[in-house]
Amino acid sequence: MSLDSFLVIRNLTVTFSRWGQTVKAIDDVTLTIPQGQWVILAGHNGSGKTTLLKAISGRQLPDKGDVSVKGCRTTEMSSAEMAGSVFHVHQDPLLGTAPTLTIFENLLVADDEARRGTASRSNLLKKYGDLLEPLGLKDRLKQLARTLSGGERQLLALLIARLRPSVLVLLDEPLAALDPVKAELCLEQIRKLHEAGKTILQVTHDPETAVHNGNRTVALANGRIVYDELEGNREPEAIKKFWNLAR
Amino acid sequence: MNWLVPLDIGLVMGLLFAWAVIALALGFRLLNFPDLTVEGSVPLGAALFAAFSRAGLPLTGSILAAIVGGMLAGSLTGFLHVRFRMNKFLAGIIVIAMAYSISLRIMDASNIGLLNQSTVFDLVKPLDGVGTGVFHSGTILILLVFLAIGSVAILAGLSSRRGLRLRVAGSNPEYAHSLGISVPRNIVAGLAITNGLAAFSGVLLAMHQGFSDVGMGQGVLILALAAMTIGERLLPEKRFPFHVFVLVSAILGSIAYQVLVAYAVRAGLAPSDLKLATAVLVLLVVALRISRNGELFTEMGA
Repeated sequence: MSLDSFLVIRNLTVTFSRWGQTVKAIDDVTLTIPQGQWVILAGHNGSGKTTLLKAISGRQLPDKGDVSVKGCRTTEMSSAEMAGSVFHVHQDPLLGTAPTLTIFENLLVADDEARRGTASRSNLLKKYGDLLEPLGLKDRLKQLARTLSGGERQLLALLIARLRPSVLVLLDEPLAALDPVKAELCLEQIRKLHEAGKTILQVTHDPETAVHNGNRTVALANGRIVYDELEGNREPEAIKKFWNLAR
Repeated sequence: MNWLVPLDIGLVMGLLFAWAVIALALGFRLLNFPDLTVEGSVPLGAALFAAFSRAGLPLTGSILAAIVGGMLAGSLTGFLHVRFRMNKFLAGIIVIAMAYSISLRIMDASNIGLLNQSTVFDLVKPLDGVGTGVFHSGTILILLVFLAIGSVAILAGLSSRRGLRLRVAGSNPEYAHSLGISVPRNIVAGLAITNGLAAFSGVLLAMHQGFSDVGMGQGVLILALAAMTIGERLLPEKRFPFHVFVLVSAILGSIAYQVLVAYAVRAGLAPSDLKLATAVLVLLVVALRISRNGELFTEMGA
């Protein structure tokens, strides 16, 4: 596997048949993403973004085509292998943490270093304290996750993504439910994920986010790729044009 | 000193049933699984213990056999739910029905007497009645020792890495899946453990009462639910980690409920009205919580 073909999506098609109607949520999508790239996946509601993420993380079986991460087909990966390669942060902040565990326990159970048993409890406490400090959560390690606000839980979910061994992080509209201050803090966490060398696929339906973040923007409309440009070539007007086309 | 007698009865019964209440509470609150199987595991544990004791198996062996029986019942409920996507309540009801027939088959009768069999209470019989002459001090002491050992073991297990994974699987299956934690496996394992605890409650009941009866599980579910609900009102939730809160409130609730029942019976409540009174008590506690929270359906999530 070359670094240029870290995530490979080949001729992916996903259809839903309900009440006698068949809808193509993903229509013959082919996409190659190199390692370490931060890709913004943009599109309107119902354009197929979330379905594409689900197909990549193995939660949605495709009708046709396949997805490979680091040269391995996701349909052939065990759930443990999948969890070691791909981490999914949901739009709903409530889905990304265990509500009845403390912040410390949420970080501990996700932390690969803790799993390997190479760090003492005091070292882990210090490490988590340092990670939580910029988010204003350092003194709340013993607090249950369910007592955090939605924005704080989303920040915790992104922090968890940093602790995972997963090289590919899927972010499903992680900023959608947040106020501007929390959204900026979350964006900062996403930048840190990127700096750590993780490959990021971030879904958004906000044209501004699609234009100003990441290294590449891919736009979907009706399950097909309608726009794909790298950072330097992205033109806000062009993206907005596709937005209007897809309406 | 007659007014202390219900307190003694309540303490003993509360400590005997505490294991069943813990089983229900751990399933309900930590695994997000309202497990009805407890009503079948208690008599199954008692039946297995009685049958093996009568067959000449040593005390420890009979207790272990009963716990394993309860674990099998719990894992079957979990298996029916995760493998066949059977509704949690339906899976529990099916296993209760199976446990009833199996208990009858094991005992070969609807009840077995254990009057001449050795029990753990033999060791502390001389202490009963010491002091005030009212309290079964020896019985209470040994039940407290069992509960203390069991609680430490349960808390250590739940705080371990494996226990943490089990709690994640119950708390948020979607998140557990993201971390590569097998939710079905953890649900089956969790229910096996909780029903092993419920079966141990059956063992202690059989030992204390001197017999095992196939009908002794009837009403366990409502009393465990009442005890759990009362216990959760008695303990301030924010002072403890959630799993500690669930365990301690189950124990406190079991004792509080049984003491309350003993005094109510003493005050003239007909034993036949007990289930109705318990149900009303649960409704009152839930209504109190709802009126405090101002939300109508907060209790229906599980």
